[in-house]
Amino acid sequence: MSQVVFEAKNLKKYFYLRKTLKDSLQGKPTPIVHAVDGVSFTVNKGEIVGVVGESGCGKTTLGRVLLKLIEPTAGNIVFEGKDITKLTAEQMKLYRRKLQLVFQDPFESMNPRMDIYSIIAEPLRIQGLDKDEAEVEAKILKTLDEVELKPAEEYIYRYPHELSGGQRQRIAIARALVLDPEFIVADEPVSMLDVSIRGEVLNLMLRLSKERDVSFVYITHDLATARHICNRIIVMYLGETVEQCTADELVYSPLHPYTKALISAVLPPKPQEGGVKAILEGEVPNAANPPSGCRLHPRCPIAKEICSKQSPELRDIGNNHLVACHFAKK
Amino acid sequence: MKKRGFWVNATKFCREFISKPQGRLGLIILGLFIFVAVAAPILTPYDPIDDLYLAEGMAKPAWAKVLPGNSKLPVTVHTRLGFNEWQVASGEDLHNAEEIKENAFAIKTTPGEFSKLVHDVNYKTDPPGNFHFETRYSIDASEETTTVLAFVIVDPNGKEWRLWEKKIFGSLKPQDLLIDSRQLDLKTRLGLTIFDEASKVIFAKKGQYKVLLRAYSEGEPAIITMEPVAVNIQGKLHGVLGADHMGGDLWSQLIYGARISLIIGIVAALIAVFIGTAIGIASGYIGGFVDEFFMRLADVMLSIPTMPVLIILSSLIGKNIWNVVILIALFSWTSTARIVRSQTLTLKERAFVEAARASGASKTYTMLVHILPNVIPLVFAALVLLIPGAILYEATLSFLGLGDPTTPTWGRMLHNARSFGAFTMRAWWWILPPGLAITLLSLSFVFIGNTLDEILNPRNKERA
Repeated sequence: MSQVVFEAKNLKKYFYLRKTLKDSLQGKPTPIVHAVDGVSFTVNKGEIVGVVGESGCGKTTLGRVLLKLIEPTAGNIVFEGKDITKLTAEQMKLYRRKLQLVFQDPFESMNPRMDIYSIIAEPLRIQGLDKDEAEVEAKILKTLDEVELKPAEEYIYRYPHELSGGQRQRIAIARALVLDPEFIVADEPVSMLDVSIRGEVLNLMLRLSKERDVSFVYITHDLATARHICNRIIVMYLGETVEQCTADELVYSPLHPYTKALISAVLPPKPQEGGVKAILEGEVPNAANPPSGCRLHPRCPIAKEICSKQSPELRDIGNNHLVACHFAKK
Repeated sequence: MKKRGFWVNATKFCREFISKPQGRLGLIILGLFIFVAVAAPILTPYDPIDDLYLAEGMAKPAWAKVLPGNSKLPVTVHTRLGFNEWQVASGEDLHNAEEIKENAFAIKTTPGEFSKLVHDVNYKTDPPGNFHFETRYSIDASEETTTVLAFVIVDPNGKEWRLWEKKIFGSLKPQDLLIDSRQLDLKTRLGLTIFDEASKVIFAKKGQYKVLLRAYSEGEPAIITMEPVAVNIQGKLHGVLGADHMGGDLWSQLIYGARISLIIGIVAALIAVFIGTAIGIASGYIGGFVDEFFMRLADVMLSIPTMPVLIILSSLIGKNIWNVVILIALFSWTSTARIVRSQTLTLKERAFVEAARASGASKTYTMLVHILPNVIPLVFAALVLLIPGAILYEATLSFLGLGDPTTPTWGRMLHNARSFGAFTMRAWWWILPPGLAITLLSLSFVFIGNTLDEILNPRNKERA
């Protein structure tokens, strides 16, 4: 069970912005957005790892970098014991069978000119696994069955615009599953869905991880859903990991002030017993120009002088609970 | 079942298109031109380039007769006088004999007597510019027989104009007979000077004329066989749209011109759109240096004034219609490339493109399978909107005399009209039709293109 499938080592992705003519004449440095700045974690077989953070903290970029849809600036990606960071597109093609992606917006993620059959068959065609048409069809029907679109025959010749958001997201998961991947990055797969459908899609992911031993990285801004399905959760702020531990531990004993703030921002089921308390003030700073020291310090309620000068290390304070805060204690 | 969605979309699209008055009008006009272009050989018996001297130069359309001042103008006559048209006045009629070709006629002379074939013509207008008779004849007779054959026109006063006469000894193999009012020996035989116009003299009167074929033989009977006589009287009223300065048929030039204009417009636009789409998708999807290179190239092409360059190039590379087509295409791809590129830029950020990449799709695959089908509607509208431009460019080049002189185009018609005095002669039947045709055909494509653009361009669509 605890076999490591996927490992990210000190991943970095910087985006270089364009300088204005004036800035380059004045010799100013090229502005850099530190979208992902040194993130490391491992994913075990059949495990669901949540990546949680505010908008703009770099979680989506992280998801793309993990699958090498964007080349990382630095760091390594290890999949099944092999470093795939430096592989060319040709070499990557074989690994793409095992690494898949589910998108946030089910209305955007399908070519409107393709029917469901073609959409799900596409990964097979790209990978050259479509030699036997009957086999392809059987595979597609089986996969549709697996994502609980029944009866599958009724769906395969329809077009995406004829389906609801929940049905589309199931199609998107079916497309990711059709190659029998080992590892799926799910980028906010339920944030565009109605609350009533979210649970079903999340439970589907949970079932797939248990039954088929598929590993997931579940990217979300919603701690509640992350806690529901994830084994472990990584909290990101401005491209950096601030806390990483099991889901229950994160929710019941958060150590980093940012995590605490996130948990406090989850809407309580009984609002009459006290509403949401705003712990953090202000907006997320510009990622092109992050604060010195601890990146949270301008907004942090417990910040001291050291925070603005020294960047805290990500420390293990026991029981594999990693925190990046000068004041975190068990 | 698999094509269901496609057909539903197609039907919906057609219904939407038809519901717009502009689109409907454009389709009707275009349909008309396509019909005319396809049916050209049925709609006119004449060749637009080779058939000359069908009428007097700048003959007016036949229907112009109803206009004031035109009622006495001579009508152009084209006919063939076969055996049904000839009456045997004297001699033995042989036209039913089996050995004689279809519609030809034959007469057997009685030695010492005149044999006559007569055709009556009622001529009530002013004299025509020229007349022209053409046939083939042969004589079958013994060697001792002498035959005299004559072609005569008898005017209403009974005066005989002997246009042609020949004395033949024995038999004669089939040979051509050609009588033209401009022939010098004809004028001499009639006692005219070379400056007289024979047709004006002969047809000076109005009334009943007779065309007479007369044979006289001595010795034994001779059999004279003659193929149908092609008659061409070049009047000042001719056909549907009159004639040009050389007596060429303007109607046939106009409808064959529709063919050329449609072909040139569509082929040039197709080439341009093909280039534009390929470049647009490539520079939008690949980006970087490729993008920079092609877009700067497009900028340069856009900033060059097209017409002067086209004039220079087409005069350099020769007057071939396909050269012109390729030149026009090379100068028209930029707009398509820009539209396609901008659409590609938005498409490549769409999640389905990323999903394909996540499955290992190559750039070529993504461009062909995901980008191309999604830009096709835009490309289609661009194609239709490029056609009128190409038609106008071609017409302009031909009008300036840089087109292919052996191809009947509307620009060439206008060029000839300008060069040979149609404007000073106020030959409206020569100037207006090609001009109107160019305008209408271009307009129909603009109408259709606008409607397509309205329906297909995502910019104009309310978000569903």
